[in-house]
Amino acid sequence: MLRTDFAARAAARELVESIGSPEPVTQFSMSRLFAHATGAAGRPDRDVEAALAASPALRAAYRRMVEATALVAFPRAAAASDQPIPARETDTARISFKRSRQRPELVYAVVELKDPQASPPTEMVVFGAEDVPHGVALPAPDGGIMQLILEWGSDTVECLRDPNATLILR
Amino acid sequence: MDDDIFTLNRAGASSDLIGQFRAVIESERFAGTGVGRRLAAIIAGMGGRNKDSAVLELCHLVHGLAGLGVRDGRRRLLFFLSQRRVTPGAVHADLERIAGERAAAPANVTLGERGLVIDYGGERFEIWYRRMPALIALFEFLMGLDGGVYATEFVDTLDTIPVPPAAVGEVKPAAGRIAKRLRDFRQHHIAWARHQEHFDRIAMYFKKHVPGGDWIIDDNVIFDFWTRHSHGVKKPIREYETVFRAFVDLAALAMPPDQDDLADWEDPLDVLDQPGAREIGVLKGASERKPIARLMEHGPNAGRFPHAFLRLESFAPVQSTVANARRFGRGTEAIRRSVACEDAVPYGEAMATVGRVREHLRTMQKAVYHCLYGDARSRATPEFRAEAAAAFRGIRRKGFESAEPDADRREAFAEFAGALTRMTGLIDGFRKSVERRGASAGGLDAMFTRDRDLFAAQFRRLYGEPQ
Amino acid sequence: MPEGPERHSDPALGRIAVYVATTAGPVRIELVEQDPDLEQSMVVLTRDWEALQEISGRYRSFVAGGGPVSRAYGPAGDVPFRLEVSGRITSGESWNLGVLVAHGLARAKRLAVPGEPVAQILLLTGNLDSQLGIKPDIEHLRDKLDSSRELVASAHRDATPIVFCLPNVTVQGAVPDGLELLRFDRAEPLLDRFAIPHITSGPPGGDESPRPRAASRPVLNGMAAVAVVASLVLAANVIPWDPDPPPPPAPDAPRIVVSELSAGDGTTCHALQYAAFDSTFDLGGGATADGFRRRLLQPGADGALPASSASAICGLSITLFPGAGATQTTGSLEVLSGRLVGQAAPIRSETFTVRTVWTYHVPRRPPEPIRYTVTARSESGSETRISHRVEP
Repeated sequence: MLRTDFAARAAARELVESIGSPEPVTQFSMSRLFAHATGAAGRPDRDVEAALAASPALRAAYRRMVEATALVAFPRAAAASDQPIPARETDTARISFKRSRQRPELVYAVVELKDPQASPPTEMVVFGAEDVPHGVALPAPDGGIMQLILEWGSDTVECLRDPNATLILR
Repeated sequence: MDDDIFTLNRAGASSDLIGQFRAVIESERFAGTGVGRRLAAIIAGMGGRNKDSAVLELCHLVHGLAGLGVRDGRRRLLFFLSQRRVTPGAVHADLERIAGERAAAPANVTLGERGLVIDYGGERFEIWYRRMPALIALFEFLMGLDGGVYATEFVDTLDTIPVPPAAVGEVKPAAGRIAKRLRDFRQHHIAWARHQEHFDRIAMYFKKHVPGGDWIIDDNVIFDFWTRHSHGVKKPIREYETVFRAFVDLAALAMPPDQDDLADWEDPLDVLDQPGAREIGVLKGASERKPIARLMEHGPNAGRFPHAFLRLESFAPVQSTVANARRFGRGTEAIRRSVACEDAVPYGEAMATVGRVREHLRTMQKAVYHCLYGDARSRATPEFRAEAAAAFRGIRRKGFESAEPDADRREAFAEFAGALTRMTGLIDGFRKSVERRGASAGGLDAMFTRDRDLFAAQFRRLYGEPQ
Repeated sequence: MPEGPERHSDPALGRIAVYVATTAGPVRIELVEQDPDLEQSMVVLTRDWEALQEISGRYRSFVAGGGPVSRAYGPAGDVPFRLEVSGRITSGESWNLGVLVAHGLARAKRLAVPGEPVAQILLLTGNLDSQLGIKPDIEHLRDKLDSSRELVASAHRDATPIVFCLPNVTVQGAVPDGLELLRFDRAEPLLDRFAIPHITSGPPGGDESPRPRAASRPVLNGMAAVAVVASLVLAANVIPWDPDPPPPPAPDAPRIVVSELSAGDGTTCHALQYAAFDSTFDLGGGATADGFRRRLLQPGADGALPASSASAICGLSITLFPGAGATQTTGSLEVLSGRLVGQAAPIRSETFTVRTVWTYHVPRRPPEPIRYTVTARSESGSETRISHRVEP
């Protein structure tokens, strides 16, 4: 036991001695990632964005944070749907998608907030394969409705077509 | 010659571990708070049979937060990850705010004077506010394990912790799962064999050279071990500093848990590195901070082994110079001087410098007192107030321009006041220790002269005569 | 003075490109289209389909029953419009005239879309009232003219006639060479000038008087017209077109008042830490019992509070009043950037039933602007929000 405790102390000491060493810190703390996920930093953190692009592990943590702090976290969509992009619903919001027959390259996304008085979300984020996030700004609601246009064939739309993709509003 | 595998390097822990640790601790959230030492102790599994207690405490804290209304992932993440400065005071204030928002008081979770108290049906569990920054750092570190891969599982595990009221045993399953994950991580990312080999060498030393079987650690043992193991053995331990640290660690294990120095001693100089503090010129780098840096780092251990520490102060820098001079091909004369310890700082001179810094710190203490309390709220004697005012007037340093600093500056001064007191207290204790040791060894000058010859001889054995 | 009765050379035979004049340069209206798959009318940037929320809401009222488009061209039915533009059109209402004209041209299949040959370019600016009158006040007219030089030069190179249609106001300074100015008091003469059919006009080639003409075939008379408009309004669930400021807040809405605190005679900012704050302080300006000078911040025309300067103030006093008749109001303060001294966490929230005062002191030299919002929400859901900024 003494041997183990001694080794633990020595290991702890090495960690403490690493603080402030000249080698640059290349990893990101979860608080910095969280600030980016919630927009608390006030401006985009380009270093975090680059790190997210390069690390599936970091993206997994980021997705978990975004899901936990979202204003609306939609459940998985129903498997059977006659719409090219399945609608989703929670007790606070509903999102549906309609591809324009007149302009097939356009998809109209409509978010209905069930409580028009609630603070509206400003961004829709869908996570694709390997937790790659795709964010789209949401317009201000009008009577509880937010409508935006997506391009058919875009990465965002391809992710939305997967009923299992994580979709949130924040 | 082969590189000394026991030199202080970072190879004892994986770069992932060190990277994630530094990413957490070097952020503005924890800068200068001393939480690094506590987190390091938790990660490394210090605490013997209680090595997982911090994880259990963290789970209790999550349970207690649920009692205050922090029950969903969002609010929990906000509590643990969004504080800009994680100090006991800030965390306490945040908890007060959270408690103030709840509609009805929970049955068994309250905020006491010292911490958050959970009543598990008669069994009381308290988490102190001063302990919470370390738990918050642990949360952040765990969430970032393996670059973030563990985050989802970690958060999901915390979600299984019941909301109050619950029995104390209901918190343990989640703590057990998290603790296992941390143990696995620890096992894979720390070079245990290397540290254990240090221990084995020390154990063998005591077995061979110290009769009676008791392991008594003192100044002489530290020096003797070094001389025997720095040369002429397989895998020599060349650096005196490495040996000093290893024996200090071992000595700490013999102390009672509440005097666990590595976990509880906070380097008071860390306060000077906090945001806001850097704009105040308390200590000048080379002439004031550097001479006491090692002393502040080692804290009470310096006074426990005063002679060993004096050797460290005077001869460790010389050994560093020798190693660098050889590595970078400095001239023969430079190497010769270093090996001969001609530039080693005599003990008397080192202590005189420490004394001068101590007087400077005392002046700083008075000036800070004057800024904080002025005349209106001071309860000191008129004489002291006059000294404090005079001390302030005599200072020409950044941050001391006004006797009525703004609120942020006052906050920084309040932090300094505490750190300055610890520094002067430590120096006074260390000086007494050195006086006693010097008195029994024929005086500091005699001690230094003997040691210089001993170290020079040993350096010649280690590094040879310069050609 | 309105322009004379001159008719422009044969625009009815060619397509017309329509631009809205803005201070950042002319914005082309590229397409006006009804799409039954839309949920509601919207204005989008063509390049990336970004919904322009700044004007989409106003546009919805603009095209709804009772709005200028239906007033000029008759009811468009329930099918929403998609208005595609080449650039941002931000605050203000001066896009009204250009959008009205674009709608008319699109109905007549004469709105030039990018890539089509253009017989004429119209550059327009003008706010419309509920009767299709063009309001005489126009902001930044000089900037709009100056920023149109490149378009004018390009039109010249292509030998395309370009006309600037604007309200009946005096233009100060020089007009870009080759840009013809036409001033109008009302929309109808403009529509007539460019042979854009509208429900008050006769067939093309008729009377060219600049005044609005009586319709050659009545659309609807009196009460029937009102009934149709009302039913369209109800069906579309929109507020009738009204370019005036939004209605005053509901009577039970909570109030938020922010005052700057600065050092009065005989006191200093650092005494802020030790003063006890009495919630019965008078909120007027001038010195108060604690020695601080208090200056009430009044919102500007845009509803925002003027920015404060950290070096000039000691702190801020934020007073929250519950809504009238409300038993509980929830107030929250969220710091978006920077830090207020004494702030324990980025978000503070409290529920109160009587007037509540929050006081913060402000660092003398904050490293970044301090931006925060305060929201007060009564039980009935009435909400008041203010934003404020303290500059370093």
